[in-house]
Amino acid sequence: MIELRGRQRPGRARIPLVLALLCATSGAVADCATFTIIGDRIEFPLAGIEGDAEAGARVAQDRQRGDCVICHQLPLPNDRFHGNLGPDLTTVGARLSAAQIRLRVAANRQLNQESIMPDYCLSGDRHRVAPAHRDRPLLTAREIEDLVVWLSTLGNPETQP
Amino acid sequence: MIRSVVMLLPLLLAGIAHAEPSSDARVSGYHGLGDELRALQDDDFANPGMLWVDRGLRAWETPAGAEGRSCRDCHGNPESLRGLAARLPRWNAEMERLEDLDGLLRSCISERQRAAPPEFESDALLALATLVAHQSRGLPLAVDVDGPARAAFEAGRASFQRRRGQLDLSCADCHDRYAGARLRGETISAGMINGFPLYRLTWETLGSRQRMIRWCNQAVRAEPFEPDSADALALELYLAWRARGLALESPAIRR
Ligand code: HEC
Ligand code: HEC
Repeated sequence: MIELRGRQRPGRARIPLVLALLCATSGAVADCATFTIIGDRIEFPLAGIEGDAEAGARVAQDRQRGDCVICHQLPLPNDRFHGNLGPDLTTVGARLSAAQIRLRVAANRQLNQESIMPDYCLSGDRHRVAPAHRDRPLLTAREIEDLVVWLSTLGNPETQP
Repeated sequence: MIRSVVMLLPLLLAGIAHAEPSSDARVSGYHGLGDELRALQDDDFANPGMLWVDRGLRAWETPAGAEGRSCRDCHGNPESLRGLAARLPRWNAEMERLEDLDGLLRSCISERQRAAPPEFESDALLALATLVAHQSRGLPLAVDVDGPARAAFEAGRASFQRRRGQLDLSCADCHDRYAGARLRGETISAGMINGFPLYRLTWETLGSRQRMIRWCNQAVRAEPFEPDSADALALELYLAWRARGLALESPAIRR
């Protein structure tokens, strides 16, 4: 097991497969929380927070916050414009567990460095970040947990509200 | 461990399936407009960008500065500058730096006309720039990236590829890999700059190439370039080369 601490990021040359299998990542101080990756999952809720599904739906739609609809189709009927750079998430809860969703929202590029989906919980190693956003992760631990709970309900017969 | 490999495989494949490289697809943003907007661009009497051409023509004729001279006094008709905008930015050997259309107009106004140069992105500068770019309408973009401009060109290419901003995305991520995909309601184009200065409905006004670069930088929460800086001009040179051969359309219409 490799431990990555602080601002350290896996080098570009390392293939994502190995990373996801071997590493447990501790987020940097400025990241939204400290977490451990095992396989393709973050098992435990960030900062031990219990998310709220309704709040998650709002974060996904909010242009200043998650703005996930910019890239994904989501069941948000009040929003006419959904992007398609990423996969359709309307039934994502049926194919991924909460722990898998958590890693994809918090630190997706640990799975695939080339992916365009940003790491929402990390903040280090970025080029020319605008001053107002410097050294800040895109979302808070609470917002990510809200998203995880909401997304887990989508297409999932057990948790569908 | 084997279980994990099996589990990850579909994931990696999903990543590949969603990256649709369309590199070197030199397609003008004109093709992404609907019929209505295309017709608007093509009709000089309806195209709102032509207002800037008209204003530019008035400024062209108006004497100004310490010498009381107009652009016409030195250059004659604006048609005399046909071809110029298609070759910019270019290397200025005397200044040992790149200059683009806006920079060239500003130095001509301050050095030859001896008047105060209009601010970047001001209506006065956009009007002259659109007038001059319009003279090259239909000509293929053809910038010189060899010789002394080479280093800046390479820097511009690297800048295009480099991820940046809080969202950590590069120009190439959107305009090479995901051109044609939808970002909310907007279809991402190949990011060609042959239409500038152009009228964007989103802005409800006309803007320069550099305004577009600034807009895209802000979209990924990156720090915009200083106006007229080496970084800004290097990226503009690369973009002009990337659009090489496409017909200049100024004033184009874009969403
Ligand atoms: C810039 C584009 C982009 C944005 C913004 C984005 N995503 Fe993604 N997302 C992707 C892509 C592309 C994938 C496909 C897998 C990959 O490339 O890593 C993906 C994959 C996912 C997955 C895994 C889906 C699956 O079926 O495997 C989840 C869950 C997800 N995104 C959630 C979110 C959430 C929540 C947000 C907002 C907080 C978000 N995404 C914002 C592009 C984006
Ligand atoms: C998150 C996605 C995204 C990123 C990253 C991005 N752009 Fe754009 N860009 C857009 C969208 C959306 C538009 C407007 C629709 C269109 O014309 O593609 C646009 C438009 C443009 C255009 C105008 C195209 C035309 O036909 O008039 C240019 C030029 C351009 N971008 C250059 C850049 C440069 C240079 C960068 C990097 C500094 C960049 N873009 C980064 C999304 C992006």
